[in-house]
Amino acid sequence: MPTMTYLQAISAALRDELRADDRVLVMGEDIGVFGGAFKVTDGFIDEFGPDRVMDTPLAESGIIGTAIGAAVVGMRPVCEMQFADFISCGFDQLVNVAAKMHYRQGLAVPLVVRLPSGGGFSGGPFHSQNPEAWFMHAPGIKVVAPSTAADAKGLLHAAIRDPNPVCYMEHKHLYRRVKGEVPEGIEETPMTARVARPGNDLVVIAYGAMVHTALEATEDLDGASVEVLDLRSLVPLDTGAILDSVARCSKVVIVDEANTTCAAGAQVAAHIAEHAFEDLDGPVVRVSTPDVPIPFSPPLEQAVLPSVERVREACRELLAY
Amino acid sequence: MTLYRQGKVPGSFYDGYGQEAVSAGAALAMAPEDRLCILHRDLAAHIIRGVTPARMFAQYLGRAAGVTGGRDGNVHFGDYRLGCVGMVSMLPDMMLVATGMAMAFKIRGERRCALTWFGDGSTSRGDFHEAMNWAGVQKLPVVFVLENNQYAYSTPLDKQFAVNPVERAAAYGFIGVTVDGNDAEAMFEATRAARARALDGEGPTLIQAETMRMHGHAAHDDMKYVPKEQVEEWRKRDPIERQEMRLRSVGVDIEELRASVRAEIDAAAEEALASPMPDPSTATEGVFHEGEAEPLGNGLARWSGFAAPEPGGEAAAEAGAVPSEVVS
Amino acid sequence: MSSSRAETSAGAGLVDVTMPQMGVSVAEGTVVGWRVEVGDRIEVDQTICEISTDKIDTEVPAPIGGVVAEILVPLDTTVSVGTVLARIGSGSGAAAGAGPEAPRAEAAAKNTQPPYDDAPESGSRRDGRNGSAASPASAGAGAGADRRRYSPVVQRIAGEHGIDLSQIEGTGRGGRVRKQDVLAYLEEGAAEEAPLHIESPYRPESVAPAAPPLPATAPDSPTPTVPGTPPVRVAPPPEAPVPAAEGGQLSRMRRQIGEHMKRSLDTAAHCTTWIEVDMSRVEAARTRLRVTALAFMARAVIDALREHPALNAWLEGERYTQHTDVNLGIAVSLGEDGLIVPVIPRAHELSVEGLAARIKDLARRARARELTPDDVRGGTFTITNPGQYGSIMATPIINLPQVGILDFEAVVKRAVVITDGAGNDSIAIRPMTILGLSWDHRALDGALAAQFLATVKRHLEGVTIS
Repeated sequence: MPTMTYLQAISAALRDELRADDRVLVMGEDIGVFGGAFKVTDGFIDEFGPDRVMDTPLAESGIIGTAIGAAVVGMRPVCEMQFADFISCGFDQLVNVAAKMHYRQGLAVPLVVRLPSGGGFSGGPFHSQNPEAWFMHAPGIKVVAPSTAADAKGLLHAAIRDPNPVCYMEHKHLYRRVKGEVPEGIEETPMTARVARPGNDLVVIAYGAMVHTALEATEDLDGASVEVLDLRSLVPLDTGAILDSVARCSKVVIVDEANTTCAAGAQVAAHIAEHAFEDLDGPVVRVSTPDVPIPFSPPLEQAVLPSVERVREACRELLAY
Repeated sequence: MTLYRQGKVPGSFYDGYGQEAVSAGAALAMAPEDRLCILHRDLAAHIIRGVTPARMFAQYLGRAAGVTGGRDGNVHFGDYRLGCVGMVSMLPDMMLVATGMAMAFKIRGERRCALTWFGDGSTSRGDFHEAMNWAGVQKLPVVFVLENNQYAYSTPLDKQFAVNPVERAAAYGFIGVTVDGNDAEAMFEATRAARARALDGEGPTLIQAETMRMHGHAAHDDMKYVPKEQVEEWRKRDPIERQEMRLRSVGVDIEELRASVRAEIDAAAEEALASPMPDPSTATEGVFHEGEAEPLGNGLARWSGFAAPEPGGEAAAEAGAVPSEVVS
Repeated sequence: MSSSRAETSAGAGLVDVTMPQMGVSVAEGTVVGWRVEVGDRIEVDQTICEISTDKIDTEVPAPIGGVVAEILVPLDTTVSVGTVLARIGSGSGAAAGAGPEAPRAEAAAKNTQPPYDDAPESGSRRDGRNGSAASPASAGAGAGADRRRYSPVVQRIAGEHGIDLSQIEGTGRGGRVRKQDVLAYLEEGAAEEAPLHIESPYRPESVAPAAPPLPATAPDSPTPTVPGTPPVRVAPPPEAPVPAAEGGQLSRMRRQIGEHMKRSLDTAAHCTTWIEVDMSRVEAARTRLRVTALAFMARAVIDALREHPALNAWLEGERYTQHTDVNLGIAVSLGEDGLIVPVIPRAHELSVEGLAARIKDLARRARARELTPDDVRGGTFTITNPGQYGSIMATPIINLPQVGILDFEAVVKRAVVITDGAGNDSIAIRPMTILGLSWDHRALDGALAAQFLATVKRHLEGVTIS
């Protein structure tokens, strides 16, 4: 089984799909000739041509809107927002046209929007956001967020093959920092959660980059047995796995890189409070970025993003409770 | 309108009274394999593609047999199996969807086009620009029909743009034409020509159809802001009356035609009124699709002799029928 | 709740504390211990003194909070029911209480409620605890300095297994009982229980380890002012000296037990019969159900008593009564202070789990001196189970006016001979126990006693495992 980086896994998935299915089309700003801002589609245009690896005008609404049109006449467009932050320019098309089309008209929109998200490298307020909660809140959109290279490939396959609009949250900071074994060929990762490390005393629930933060923070925590649950899919949310972990561990820490209020973790916490009340041996604790735009200068940014230390402290406190 | 005033139509009610030629003329120029994004005053387009009046009435009445099964409001519908995409309220979002459909046709090398209607007001929003630009840059086979009916709700043209919007086409690299929107045959001809250009790879066309909205923005709008003289002037140019005159001159019995249409409409209304409301327990179903996605299908195109498949049948039809010559 | 009895009766003068009537036939009682001194500030329901009656030893709680104004009856004095023992003055209003000051605003309200009351508080504490995305540290700090709260999962597990949470020591923040603590308690199971003991020469080393310190006991108990008598403590510490060894009298309770035993030996024609029982099925079943072997024993005895009602009888002089209902007495050791036999009324109506829960409850209440006179009345048969220390047989004394008593000692793994269906013998290792039945030869014969034991054995060896 080959080992590759998270970014290479995304490239590999796109390449496999472009080869396997004529209907697949990759579109975004600077992705063709330039190979993409992060080089995800480097070299693609040579193999697949400018029609299927499309350099679009600078128009996020246009990218999403035309992708919808292409999708309803039988294509499988995979749009890229150069940075997840720019999805706000295409919000209307995604939330009002794509998301609601099937419910209203019975017309499926098989569309993927790749969203390079997350911070940690001085990207500043407009290149570091984690906007998944906005789309969890719009019925009709699926949202996935891989944390490993294998899942980066598997979930992208699953997203492309899903007949619904899917937001694919690829965490930029993991692009080259995460490596792993990735199965060859096209294997879809199911849109379910994954136990990253099993445990009994406490469970840390996270997704994306925070899974790695959680694993590091709880690797050696005074001998406690700490489970880490990688959600992988936010819509649909694997509530079965969440409740299983809570039943086993009874203590929960939820880590969000996104801003605290109404982040994905808030939904998880609410669900646990309602459905696992009798399994809880302590309050449901959240570690998340405070409600501020992500600052640019490193000391400021590091102060707000959930650090290994903060997660570790929260776990330690809750274990002792 | 009558049903609305009787309280049988939930929500708001919008109509295209006085603008009928804009949609009828243009839709008749479409082939079965073409795709349409239809706006709220363009009911004729739905009928031409094959949506029965009974289903449309049911749609307005919010019945289960309506085109959206009660999921979306009166005008926001499109039977995807007949190649129609239902609109959203944000305008002109559908311009981009039509542009995208045309983009797919071009990528796949298919001889077909997409067409969308939008209003004068909506040209002020960003999606108008993005769609026009995109279509122009990529030279896509799309026909943009701008229904200029003089008012966007209560906002007159001089508050909407500083230039005549048809001139904007040139700014995006393609042709813009102005047409008498109340002349069905003129609309047909302009659309046919635009379609031919599109199929020949010459890119998009902007057709500005000049017309007048003879009712308020919606049934709840009494149009007080419109000067009476303007209304009177446009009433003389009523599109249906003009077409009737033409038909009479070639020997068609208009009264008989009207009577049979009337009968058909009445029967349809009765059928719709008798049909049940949607089952509340289904309210949360259908958010996501399972299984293979089904793309838009082909619609009726009587002018080319194409009869649409039964509702629920396969979409298929890659090779489009070539539209026959226009009989003038 | 009982806050209406709180300290708000300002300026009402003195309130009497009188000798209670502990049972219809009780006419008098003896004060065997004073817990307070004149001048002490006390809370409502706080124990004022301990008394001993013919039926039962118990405590007298204060009817109001206030200041002890007078103590009128000296230690070890017997007085009639209704005699005023002490007086409490309520004039000073709100009691600061014996408990430590809690930092939260609810502390004052908390103090007026009975200390053993676990009624939920207002939600304000909860808000403070779960305020932000911060740590749960603030929750533990002031949360229940003298009152415990239990998390949902802890309560659920306790409910499922009939666990008394007050028995469990918490290892969480501020002494909180954590899920792990409850699970660990379950693991230890019956081994945690204090032994049930009846008289025997063998004296237990540590007594009632699970008995909690009684609520609202001030850590420094004042010594009674009456000279010459050592204070009698409620939860006897392991190293408590035996009263008899120091000279002086046996306690009243000890004397009463002694009289009862002597009378029994003098009256009944005591014989004891034994039988061996293979407890392997009981061991398997009790592990699965998480109950003690005693519960199974109780159920088997009940079934045998229903089959042999001659053992479920009273013989009072000439009068002989056989009972169909089984009111089962279970002997409970009170350590230094002797023993008591609380009764499970209509025990035949309970399942093994039900019996286990009742036995546990009675034992706890017995050690906490919370039994009522009705709890010790009406038994038709008694079981005694001192087996934790390894003794294997005893000759129990019948609990008059009953005609039988069953002694259940240790369960010990032995090598036994097993014969299979083909008649081949082999050696197996089985948990075995010896049951001893003392029975009154005035009321029945050895054959019946043996049959009874055989029935008990049959039930125990036929217990359903899965």
